[in-house]
Amino acid sequence: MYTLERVILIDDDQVNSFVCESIIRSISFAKEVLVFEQAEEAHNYLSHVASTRPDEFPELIFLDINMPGMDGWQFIQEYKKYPVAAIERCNLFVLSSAVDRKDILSAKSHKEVKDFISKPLSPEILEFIREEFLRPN
Amino acid sequence: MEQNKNTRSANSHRRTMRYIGTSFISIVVVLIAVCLFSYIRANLVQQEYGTKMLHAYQRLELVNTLFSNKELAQDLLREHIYTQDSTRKESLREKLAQAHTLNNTTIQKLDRLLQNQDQKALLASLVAERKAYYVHADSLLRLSDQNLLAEAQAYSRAHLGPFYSRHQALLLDLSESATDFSQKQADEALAVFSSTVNESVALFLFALLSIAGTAFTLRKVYRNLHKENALLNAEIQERTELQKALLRSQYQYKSLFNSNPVPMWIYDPNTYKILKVNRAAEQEYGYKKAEFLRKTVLDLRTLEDAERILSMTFPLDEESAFNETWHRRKNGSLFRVEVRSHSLPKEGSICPRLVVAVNVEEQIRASDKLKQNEKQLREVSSSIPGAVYQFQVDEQRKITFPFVSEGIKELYGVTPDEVYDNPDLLFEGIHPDDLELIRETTEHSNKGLTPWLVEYRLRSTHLNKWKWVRGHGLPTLKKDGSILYNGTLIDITDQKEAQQQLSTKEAKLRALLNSSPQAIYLLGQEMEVLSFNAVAAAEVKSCRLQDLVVGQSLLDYVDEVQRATFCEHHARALQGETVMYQTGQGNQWFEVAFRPVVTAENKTISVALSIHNISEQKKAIESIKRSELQLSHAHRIAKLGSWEYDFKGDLLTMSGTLFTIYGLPNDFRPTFQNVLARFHPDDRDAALAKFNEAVAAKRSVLSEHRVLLDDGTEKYLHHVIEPLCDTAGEVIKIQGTTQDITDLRKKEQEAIEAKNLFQSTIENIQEAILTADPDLTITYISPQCLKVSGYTEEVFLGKSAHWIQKIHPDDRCRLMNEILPKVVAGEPQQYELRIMDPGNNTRWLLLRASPKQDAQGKVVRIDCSAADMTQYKAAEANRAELIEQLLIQNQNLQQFTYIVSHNLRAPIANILGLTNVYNRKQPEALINQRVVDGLLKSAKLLDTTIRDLNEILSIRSRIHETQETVMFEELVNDILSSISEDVAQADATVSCDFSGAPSITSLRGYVLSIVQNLLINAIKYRSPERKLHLSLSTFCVSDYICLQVCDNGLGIDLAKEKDKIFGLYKRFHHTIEGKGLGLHLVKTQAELLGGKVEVESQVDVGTTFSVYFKS
Repeated sequence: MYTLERVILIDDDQVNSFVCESIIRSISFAKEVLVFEQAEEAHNYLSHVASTRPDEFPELIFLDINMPGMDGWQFIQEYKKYPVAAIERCNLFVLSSAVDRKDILSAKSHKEVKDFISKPLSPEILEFIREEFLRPN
Repeated sequence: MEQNKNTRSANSHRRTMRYIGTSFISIVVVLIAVCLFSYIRANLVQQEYGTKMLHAYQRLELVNTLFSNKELAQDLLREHIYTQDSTRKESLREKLAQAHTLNNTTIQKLDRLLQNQDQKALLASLVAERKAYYVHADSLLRLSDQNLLAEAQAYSRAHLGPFYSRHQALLLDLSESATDFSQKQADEALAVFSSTVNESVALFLFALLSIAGTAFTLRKVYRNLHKENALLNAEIQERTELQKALLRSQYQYKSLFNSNPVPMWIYDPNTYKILKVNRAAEQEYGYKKAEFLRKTVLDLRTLEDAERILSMTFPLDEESAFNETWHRRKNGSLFRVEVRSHSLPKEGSICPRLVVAVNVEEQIRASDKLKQNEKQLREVSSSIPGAVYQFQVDEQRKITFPFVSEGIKELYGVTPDEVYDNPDLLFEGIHPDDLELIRETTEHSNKGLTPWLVEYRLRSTHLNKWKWVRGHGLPTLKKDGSILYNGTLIDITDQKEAQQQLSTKEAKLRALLNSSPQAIYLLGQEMEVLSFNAVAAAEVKSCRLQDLVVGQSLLDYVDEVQRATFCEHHARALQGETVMYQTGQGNQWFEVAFRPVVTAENKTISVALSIHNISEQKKAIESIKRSELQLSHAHRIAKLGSWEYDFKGDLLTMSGTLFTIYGLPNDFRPTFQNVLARFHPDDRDAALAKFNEAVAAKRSVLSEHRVLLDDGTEKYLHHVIEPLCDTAGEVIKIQGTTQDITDLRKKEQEAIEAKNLFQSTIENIQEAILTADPDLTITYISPQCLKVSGYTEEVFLGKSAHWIQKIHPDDRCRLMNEILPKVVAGEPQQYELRIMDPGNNTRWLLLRASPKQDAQGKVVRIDCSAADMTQYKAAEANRAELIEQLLIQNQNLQQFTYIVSHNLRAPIANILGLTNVYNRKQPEALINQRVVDGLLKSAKLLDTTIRDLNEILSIRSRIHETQETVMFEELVNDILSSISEDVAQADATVSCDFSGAPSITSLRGYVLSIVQNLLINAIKYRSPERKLHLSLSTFCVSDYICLQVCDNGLGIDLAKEKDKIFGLYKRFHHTIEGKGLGLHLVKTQAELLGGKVEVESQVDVGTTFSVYFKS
């Protein structure tokens, strides 16, 4: 039984994406894992889904900050423009290798961002996410 | 008349009574007539009604009888039928026959009674029916007699039955008709009755109205009567009064005659017999009443008179009078009488005359006496100086002079007779001013009957001057209402003139006294005030607050303590001694003098006391003394002394202060020479020259010199030398004042020294000091100006329009419009401004301006200091630049740290993650291969990052290497050859133009790195759609040499990426491999060389990098 239906990974670091996807699948955290190396692509996909098939909108997004082209911050600005229903359904997490305090505070200042997670992703973190954020009310 | 009235009123009374009687009778008649009429009418109506009612009743009774008869007949018939008994039948038949008879009589009666036609017709039909009935009844009886009961019954039913019912109906009709008729008649009767009643009521009303009318007439009549009665009563009253009056007057006349004091009698003119005589006559003539009645009037006269009277006739009703006739008394004495007589109403045949005889003997005697008196009066009055007069004002204000003495002639120049003719003569010559006074006083005396006294001026025509006349008069009010004055007019001209002279003298004397500033009192023997002057009155008023009054003792105005002294001095003065002394205290001082007033006989009659207020005098003297003292004191303080040199006697006198100034002992005897010896040797000749100049020019000269005193001190002296000339113009004396001005000199010296010190201070400080007027005109500027501004002082002195030219144009506006107005308003300001120095260089000045205000807060001067702060400004700019650089460095370092931490941590995090994914249980698992690949990749990345870091850090450390000349051409060729593979692969063309700046002196490694990175960057991000073309060029821009690298590649969206373009590990293209290090290095190196990098780009057109190297 999968915890979630669909999880999105946005990161230009393929190694990290591989690690994340492997862990998610290993503990059957999500049925489907979509990986976007460019934030623009992820945005295009998500905006399309939000407007056409809102029920297929992912329940969880892991977003990297440091990316060429549209970076994590810019993506967050776009993400805010999605329909409210989509945003409410979804849990956006920033997943970054940075340990800079400024980045953490900046990420947490957006109410759409549920939490800042420092790489690497681990099954414990997923478990924590499941406990803290995904438990049905 | 009276009787007439009475008769008339009696007539009217009778007439009235007749009226009343008639009215009453007519009312009674009317009432009786009405009653009778009503009674008769009522009776008639009653009777008629009774008859009618009787008839009706009879009719009804007859009808009833008919009814009962019919019934009876019916019954009889029936009985007859049913009875078998023949007797019975017979009796019944008889009864029936009776009933018939009765019936017929009844019908006959009824027929008489009925008047109505209908009823008669009904009755006729009834009779007819009856006849038929009788026929039938007979038939029936017959049948019955035959004892044919059944037939009889049948017959009865067949014939009698219908008949019976018809009969019944007819009777009923008759009865009804009779009833109706009676009813009708009753109604009629009632109507008649009611009309009768109405008539009676109308009659009664008429009667009442006529009674009311009569009553009204009666009332009016009564009133008239009442009025007439009142008139009548009044007349009667009047008549009684008249009667009484008549009686009274008769009595009065009688008593008047009897008790009259004048002798009177009545005589018969025919016989001359005395008829009546009063008591006065009895007393006058000495005859008794009886004696008188025996005498004739002639007996009372002298003989000759009696004869004369006899010859005279006295017409009736005529008065006659005899003056001064002689009458004789009983004792024979004669006396003069005035006789008057007049006739009385005729009594019978006699026409009596009333004679009144008044004894005029006394009167005549008094008149004689009066004449004699008057004569005496004239004689007496003519001997009196002036005139005696009688002056009368009657009620009509007409004036007359009943008497004026002869003296009037001397006084007025008119005779008494002229005055009698024209009283106004006496008022003609009077002075117009006095005339009014006379009129007023006369008026006053007229009213109050007070003595009249007035002095007036009269024009004397022959002397041609004004005479003074004193008029005096005593008014008496006479019985006729006129006022009579008895008085005198006396010439008082001499007296008046003497008096005038005396009062003039007195006035002069008083003026003299009053003009004296002293208070002067003239005292009598007992110290009573006899006279005083104005000053004395004023003084007493002001000191004692009471008025000085003649006759009062002087002691009343003197203080208790002084009384004894005053008494003593007064006594001494009375002895002929003059006493003078001063008294007073504080500010009030008086000089008091008691002087005896002596007559020509050398006898002291009074004392003149004069009190002179000498307070002012005293004060003046004291103030002069004080001034002298103050002057010498002032001289001492001012160290001012005076001296005088007498040429002739070679005598030098000096004031005390000079001794002090020269430091000489008091017993020193100054001479010209020994004083001159004390002059400072250096100044002596000059001082002497000044002295001689004054003598020669004969005018005052000022001189200043030093003196050297015995104790060695040096002093400065200031002289004013004034020559004094005699009448010939020869200088005889020199006067002078000398002042010790040593202290002044010393202070001046100190001030000059202080000023010099101040001046040198100002000139030695760094700032330029300047002062300006409130209108911004610079009045002073310290010599430091040249150093600070590069200009001499003259350039800035003067108006603002003059020096404003030197201020930097950008600062002028703010200085003039903002800063300086505040200063002028009293607010200190500090302002940094620039000026252009003579070399046209900008100099920064710090201007501090503080306004100087006077006590009222008005700005009178502006003090400023200007400091050169050009160097400070330069240093400040330098510092700002440094700070900016430091900030950038710091920022770079932060970014570097951040990037490094991120880029170092990313591969490590990956490695950590991969280890998690690694399937340890099945090392051959497919995923493990990928994990190992990932591990390798991460490790390589880590390695690259560390290498990059090393490079970056090493580049920074190479900045201290020696600089060399780098030829751009050569450099670019070296690079192109090192990357020739890439260039060839990209098929790029490169064009270079370094003519603008062929070489640069710099760190070769840096320049190489920069150009290499830019070229690699351009090749890396070339457009796949175009053939890459690179163009490199250099040129000089002010302090820099600019190297431009221009490509036609993908371009960068600068709007989005401008901030990141030179950031470490920033990439803009996903498709192309890159670390984001190259441009970061370019920027870092350019900045390390003191230059900068700029970029211009357009997406899909190309990018141009401009690198500025410091030349």
